[in-house]
Amino acid sequence: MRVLISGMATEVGTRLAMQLEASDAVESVVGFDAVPPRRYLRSAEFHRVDPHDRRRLLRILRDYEPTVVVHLGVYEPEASADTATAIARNEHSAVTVLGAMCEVGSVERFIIRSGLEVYGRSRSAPARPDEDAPVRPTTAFGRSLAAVEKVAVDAGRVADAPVSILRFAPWMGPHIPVPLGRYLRMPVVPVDAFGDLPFTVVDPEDAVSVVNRAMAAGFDGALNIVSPGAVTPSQAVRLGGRIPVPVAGPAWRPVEIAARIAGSPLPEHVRELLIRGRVADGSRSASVLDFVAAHTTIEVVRSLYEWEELAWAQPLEEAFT
Amino acid sequence: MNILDIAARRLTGLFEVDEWGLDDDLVDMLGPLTSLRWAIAARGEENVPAEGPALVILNRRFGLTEPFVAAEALRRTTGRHLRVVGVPDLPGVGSALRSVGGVPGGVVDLEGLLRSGEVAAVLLDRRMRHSTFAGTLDPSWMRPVLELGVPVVPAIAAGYEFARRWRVVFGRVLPSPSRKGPLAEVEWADRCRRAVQELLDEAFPPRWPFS
Repeated sequence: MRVLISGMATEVGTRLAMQLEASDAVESVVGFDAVPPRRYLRSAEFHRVDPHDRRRLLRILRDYEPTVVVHLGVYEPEASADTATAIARNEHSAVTVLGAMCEVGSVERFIIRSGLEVYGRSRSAPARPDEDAPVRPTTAFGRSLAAVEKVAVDAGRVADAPVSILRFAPWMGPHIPVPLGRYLRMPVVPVDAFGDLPFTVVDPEDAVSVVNRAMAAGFDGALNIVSPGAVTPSQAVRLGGRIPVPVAGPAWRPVEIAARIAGSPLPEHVRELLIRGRVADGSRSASVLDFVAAHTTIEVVRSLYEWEELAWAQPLEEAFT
Repeated sequence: MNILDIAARRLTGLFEVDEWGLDDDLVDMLGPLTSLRWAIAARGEENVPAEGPALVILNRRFGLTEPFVAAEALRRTTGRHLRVVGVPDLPGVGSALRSVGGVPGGVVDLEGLLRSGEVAAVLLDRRMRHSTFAGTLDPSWMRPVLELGVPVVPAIAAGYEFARRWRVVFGRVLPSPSRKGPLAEVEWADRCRRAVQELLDEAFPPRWPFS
């Protein structure tokens, strides 16, 4: 298969490319993103493309004619861009990439990154939604994910190809720039005074494993991807030896300001997670993809606080001869 | 129950919370306090399956005490948690109720609980004026029960809101119907309600010849 990875510079995108490079089932890997990947890729071809440059993107796609499209170009607000920029990029990227794929006509399956944020956390929402629960997002990020899903479903219909929508729990891990991870690593962490509701997360390695399985399975529909177990926000803070501080109501506004000054901005969907929790039923992914996460939620949260020291690698001599 | 172990787990964050928020340590700590508040006499707990999913249909008058005493009765006698579905999802109250086993939401969450092998409980509608009459049951609760073939156990909690003595009776498991569909759900909901009414009639026999 010829695999196209949109959002190759994301943590999961880069790791996926590295795994696919070593796979015999994969003929070639091409990817693109607005910024370069942070890791070295041996044979995967990377193109630095502005999401607005539709002509260049179309040229790359027509030349390559991928059979599998993995759309990981979904940007979380305050991860690497502010909320407005991330939302705009998500929607524009989905329309540009997935729309272009319909014109190319070679695609046999789509794999789309989405999130549990699409279910929303209103008072009437299920506490632990499964894939049949209604999509009623209550945050800007959730609404942009729902829009991406809709574009993907339409693209799949036009291309007559199955669309696997993977609704991930928040990604978390050491050295991964996500707002929830940054927030929980602060020395003093404000949590909700009146609700300590559980949430779940996913390790990037498990996320890569799921994408691989989804590429092989060609499932048409949505799947919740979560790690077993759950933690509450105050529990997560205690796992890291940090100090939880209860906060309620209007006090969240100064918390947001202080967190932004401290370098850990608190976007709307993360605040919703801290107040209302975020879990989902992941049993369908186990039956459809035979997927069981290798890391529990507690293990993933603990890994956030157990960063290994960065090691400086010596350059290969032959690269400079 | 070792208080020091529980406290150590609280400080380090190494305690278990399930996906709906149930905190085992907290429930263990509250056990002695519930004994101080309520003297619960339980009967028929052997009718609740020792493992696997089950749905308990419970009566209620005001609905403030019945879920707590029924859950405590089941926990003390079988060690299983009773997950009462439909608790209020309000700031503070909702989180506290979830930590002792309550679950907000509706049919989707009930189905999730049953698929996970939990013992879930659904309350009949309130009958504040006539405590010896069983309220109605929304047939939509029966959909996951019929689809998954889960055993249903009628139960009653008999007592007065501010009193200490409560009786909890778990009735016999109702035989699962073979049919599915909206009509089967309505019929099955009515059957479950009648089973709870039979338990209430046994617990509160009529005092007058024509009542």
